[in-house]
Parts: sequence; C-alpha cells; structure tokens
Amino acid sequence: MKVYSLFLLLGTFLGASEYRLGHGVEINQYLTLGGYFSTKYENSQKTKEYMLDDVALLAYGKLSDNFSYLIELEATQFWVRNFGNDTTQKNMHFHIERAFLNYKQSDYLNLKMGKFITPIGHWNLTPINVLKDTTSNPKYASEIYPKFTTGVMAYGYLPFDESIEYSAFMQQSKDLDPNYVNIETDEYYGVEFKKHFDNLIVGVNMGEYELEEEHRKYFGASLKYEASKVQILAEYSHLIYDHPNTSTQEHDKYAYYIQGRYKINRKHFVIGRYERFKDEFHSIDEEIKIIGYNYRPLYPVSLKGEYQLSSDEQNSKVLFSFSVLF
Amino acid sequence: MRMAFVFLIFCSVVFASEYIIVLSQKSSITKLSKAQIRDIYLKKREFIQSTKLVAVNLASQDPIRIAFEQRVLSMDREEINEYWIEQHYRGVRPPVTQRSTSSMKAFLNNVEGSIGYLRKAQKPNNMRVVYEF
Repeated sequence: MKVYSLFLLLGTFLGASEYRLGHGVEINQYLTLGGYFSTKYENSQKTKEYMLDDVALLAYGKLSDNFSYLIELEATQFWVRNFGNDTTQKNMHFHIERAFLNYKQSDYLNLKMGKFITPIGHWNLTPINVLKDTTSNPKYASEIYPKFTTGVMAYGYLPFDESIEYSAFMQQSKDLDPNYVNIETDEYYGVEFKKHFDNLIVGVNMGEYELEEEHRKYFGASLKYEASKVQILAEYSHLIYDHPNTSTQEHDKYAYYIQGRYKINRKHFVIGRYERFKDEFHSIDEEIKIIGYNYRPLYPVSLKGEYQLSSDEQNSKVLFSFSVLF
Repeated sequence: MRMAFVFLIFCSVVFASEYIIVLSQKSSITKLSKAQIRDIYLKKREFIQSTKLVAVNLASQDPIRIAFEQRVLSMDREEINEYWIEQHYRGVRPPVTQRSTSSMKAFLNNVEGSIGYLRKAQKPNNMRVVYEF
C-alpha cells in the first residue's frame, strides 16, 4: 500500500497522467516508470524459507519516432528468511536485468541492441511472477538455453506472410551484467519463427552457444492456445552438447512441459502442469506434476499457491507467493 | 416475398453502421480490414503500405470508444486492461487518448498518419473513411 501511495505521489509531482495499478507512471512519452515485487514461501524436504524474492524497477520510453529504450534493474532474493537453519540473508544490490535500445524501421524489421530476453517460446518472454500462473518455473526455462542475450536482435513479421513472426539474435561479447543469468556465455546465436492462427501460436526455434569452450546446440518448439476459459501452453527444448570432462562423445539433455489453465472467472484460475527433464550425462530423469491456484483480486496483483510432486521426492514442494506489478 | 423484404429493411436499420474509422485524405490507404485496425490499436503493427499509423482513442467512458472496443477490437474493458498491463512489462504504451471528438478531429488533422473513430455524421471533409462499424 505504501509503494502504491508512493507511485501516486510521484505521478502527481511529475505531472504524469492518472496512475492505474499495473500500468506504470507515464511522465511523458520519453519516460514511463514502473516496477514489480514478489514474495515467496517454499516448503520442501530441502528448504523451508520465506523470501522477498524479486524487487525490480522499470524505465522506458520513446527517444524519437523510431527509437525507444527500456531499462530494468532487479535485486533477487532481496530478503530471505530460512526457517531450517534459522538464518536471514539480504541482497540489496540491483543488477541490470534488461537494458536495450530499440529501432523500428517497419513492421518487418526492428532492431534491438543491448541486453534483452532471448526470444524463445512463451515462458521465457514473460518471466516475472506476477504475470505467470505458477510461482515456479518449469526446468525447461532454465536448463537448456541462456535466458538473456547481450547483443543484437532483428525481429518483425515476414513480408511474404504477415502471420509469421521472426526473431534472429547474436551475441559476441560478455553479458552486460552476468549476475542473474542462468548460463553465462560470450558467443550465442539463434533464430525463432512463430506462426499465428486465430487462437493458436506455434513456434520453432534453434540456436547455439559456447559455455566454457564447450559448444552447445539446441532446438525446440512451442505452442500457445487461448480461448475464453482455457489456455494451453506447451514447450519442448533439446540440447546437444559435449561435456568437458569426457571424450568428445555428444550428450543429450531435453526438457518439456504442458500446462493447462482454466479460468473460473476474472479473478480465479486453476492450473495443472506436467513437466519432464532429462539429462543423459548426469543421469537425471525427473518428472514433475503441479497443481496450482492463482487468485488475482486485480490483474496486476497475484496470490498463488501450488503443490509440486516430483519423481525425485526431495524436490516435491509447496509454494505460495504474492506479487504486484506497478 | 414481402416478409423477406420487410426483414431486409429491418436488418439494414438495426445493423447499419453508426461509426467510422478515418484517417487523412493525404494518406494512400483507402481501406483497412478489422484485423488490421485491431493490430494497429493493440500496437502489434504500426505500418500499413509503408505509412506509419498513430492510433488515437477517445476517453475511456466515451460511448464511441466502448462501441469500437466491442465491435472492432472484440474485447471487453477488462481484457484490454490486462493486455496493456502485460505490454507495460514489455515497454509498450497504449494509444494516445483525446478527451472529445473535437480534440480527436484536431489531432487527426494535425498529426500525420493518425487514425481515429467518429460517429458517421461527424465525418470531416478532409478525412477518408477506411472502415465502418
């Protein structure tokens, strides 16, 4: 409530248009401010903790007719209370989650330069708690490909078929801020195509990256179906790699999930997800089944609960979270 | 036969379009589809035939806007609100808003490529109708 009041005050002082929760404070066309936070409670055999998980600030706007920018600073695990070993940890350091300049030439060609979310599937593009339907992320989202890219991306619609979106990206440098990246690389290429139908989007993607002089290739597919009451998300990704501690023999790693969401009404959602993660080199083969509930008193406010049943019993857990987008 | 004729008359009266979507006559665009207008107002696209379009809304409680959202965007207010909240995270803002039809007309006159909706009877002479609803 205090933060909400702060935004109202900020908007008033800066002469912004009327503030609405979840829409940010639009100071003018050059600057809109926003942010989000999430808190999480986790209870499993391994962990019993409560945390203020993400605190983030957003700033974006237009610089001219063709140029725009976005900067997102985030502190993860801002404050963590571990009930198992009776400790409290804080991390109040903000790091760059996204920082890019966007150039729009036409609907067929946009260029993005800086650090941005890697354009893969659906889950990866909306990674924040408040906009998701479960507190947890599927293993798919963190094990196969780098979630962020620091480099250049071209994207838009294909001129000969405007129902198809493309994205092609390239990284040839270290990460702009490696603190919250899942896989740290300095060489990364990839491409994705998404075909839009009425209620359905299907996509394919592939890419390759270097990790500690190890060459990795991935390919994948995604599907999103949305009707008035039901949403179905499904994604698959497959990684082929040479493990540095072995001969040059190739190994496989893959992950997929399928998630269904039923909308009871505007505020109440029930979610079920099945996911599988297999890593041949590390002999991991895990199945996870999730049942969850998402209550949104307002759309930018989310209260979630879920139970995860893992084939590795130690990973089974209960999660609750509360998150808000400003 | 007479019944069919009466039915046709009834339909033409009841379902006649009341509103128009207009843009400057200087533009080379003569017609837009409902899907194109929807994409422009949701900022999924900004260009038609190499013309950059600027979507303009009326105030949220204006009956023309409400009709536009129902008939052209095919979305209710809550769905639109949810859509723009998600776009906020991506750094995209909703279309600009004008408080009245007279300020909408002034905006359409002054800003190249701007596109807006009006009542049919309010059509300015220097504007081209690209869609009716």
